[in-house]
Amino acid sequence: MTNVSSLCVPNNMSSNYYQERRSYIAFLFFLVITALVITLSPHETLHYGLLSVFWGLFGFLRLAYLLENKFQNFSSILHLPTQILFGITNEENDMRGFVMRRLERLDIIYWFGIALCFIIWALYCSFDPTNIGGLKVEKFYSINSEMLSPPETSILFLVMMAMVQYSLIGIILFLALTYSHSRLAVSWALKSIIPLFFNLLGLSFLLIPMAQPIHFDWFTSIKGGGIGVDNMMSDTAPEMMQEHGTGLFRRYMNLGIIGAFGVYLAFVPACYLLLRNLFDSKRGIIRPLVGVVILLVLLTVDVFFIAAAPFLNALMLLGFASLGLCWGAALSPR
Amino acid sequence: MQRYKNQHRKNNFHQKMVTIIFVCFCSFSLLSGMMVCLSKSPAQKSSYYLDLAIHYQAQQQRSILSAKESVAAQYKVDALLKQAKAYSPHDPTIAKEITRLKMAQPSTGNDKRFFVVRAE
Repeated sequence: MTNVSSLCVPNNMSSNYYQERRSYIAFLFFLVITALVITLSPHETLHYGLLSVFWGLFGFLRLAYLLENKFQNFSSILHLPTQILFGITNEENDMRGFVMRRLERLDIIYWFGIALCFIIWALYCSFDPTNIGGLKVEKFYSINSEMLSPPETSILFLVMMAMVQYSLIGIILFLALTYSHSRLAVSWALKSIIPLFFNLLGLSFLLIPMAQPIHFDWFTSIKGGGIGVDNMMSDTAPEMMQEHGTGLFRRYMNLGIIGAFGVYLAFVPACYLLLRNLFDSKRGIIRPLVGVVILLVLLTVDVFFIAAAPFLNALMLLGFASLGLCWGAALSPR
Repeated sequence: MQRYKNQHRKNNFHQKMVTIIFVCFCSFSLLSGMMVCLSKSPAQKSSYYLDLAIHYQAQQQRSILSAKESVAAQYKVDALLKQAKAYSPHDPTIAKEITRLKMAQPSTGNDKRFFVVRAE
């Protein structure tokens, strides 16, 4: 039987946990700043670039902190003198090991693997695009298929912009997982970013129209037209994108059916673990319940909402961070 | 003991995998972020070429150039407009601006090469 108290770090007041708290507060603060920047200046590419550089550095620093072993340079016979002379404690090392051990799971590796495959697929579709002019749609839309090939001069820039967005989501989800060992961290997220997430969701219900149902012959495009084709489609057939331009539909245009639906595979382990915890009477119900609700909201937004408002990207980002925290809280150490 | 060692090896392998994949993500993020910061977006490049085209056209219209320079400036304007179009082929505002500049271009006859020869 799993002892519930062994799954999370106790809330003691040692300096290590204070250090963790400072880092976690910085994470939450920069997450909210990122969401604000994405909402307020969605077309400023420089802001996206700077945010991407910042989160990349934050990720490297966090990983370096977690992997650093202060006892590594000393032989085991010197551990006690080191502790006495330099104040290096076993507790700090144990905590870092504890955080990393929770992430050495097959489902996390599976998630990361799928995310990397998705990025590679996006690159492949962009540099070897297929013509999606022959898309079979139920209604008639005037689509000029000649205009759907992106100019070679701007492919690299469009790809870089997409990579910025995908890697931001990946890094923020991983960072959220590294903080999820603390019950306090998850409850802070429940009190801070999750209300913001649901406020943005309410705003989306008020301001964004739902997509109209449409019948597609989905299998006409296994491979998509490359990143940026959805924006060109907005210029060539604006009425179609206004009626049906959901996140799923745009992904289908860009990356074909494999990219559109393949991304859902990455969230199967999180969904399984959260549902298993939800129906486990020995574990708390709130965190897995919030995780499942967030997962359902993200799916609904992706499938049914027209992806036009800039705050929808911020909503997705906050949702992925909250999902990472709730998913991490459901993990058990090995 | 062997079982313990195998388990330990497996755990080490998992830790390495997580570390490597996360390092890949961070590197992707840093590299793409730096490239986005350092390069201009297609719309910015189009506007840059349009600004240059406007500058050359203004020079041409002020008649401060000789006939030969005027023809050279017109070639430059044509090339710049083509570049602007190549970077944002579907942007309606850029397309409108290109049409406006083409309309405002002074006529130099049908055959520009002939004009150049004649001017010389």
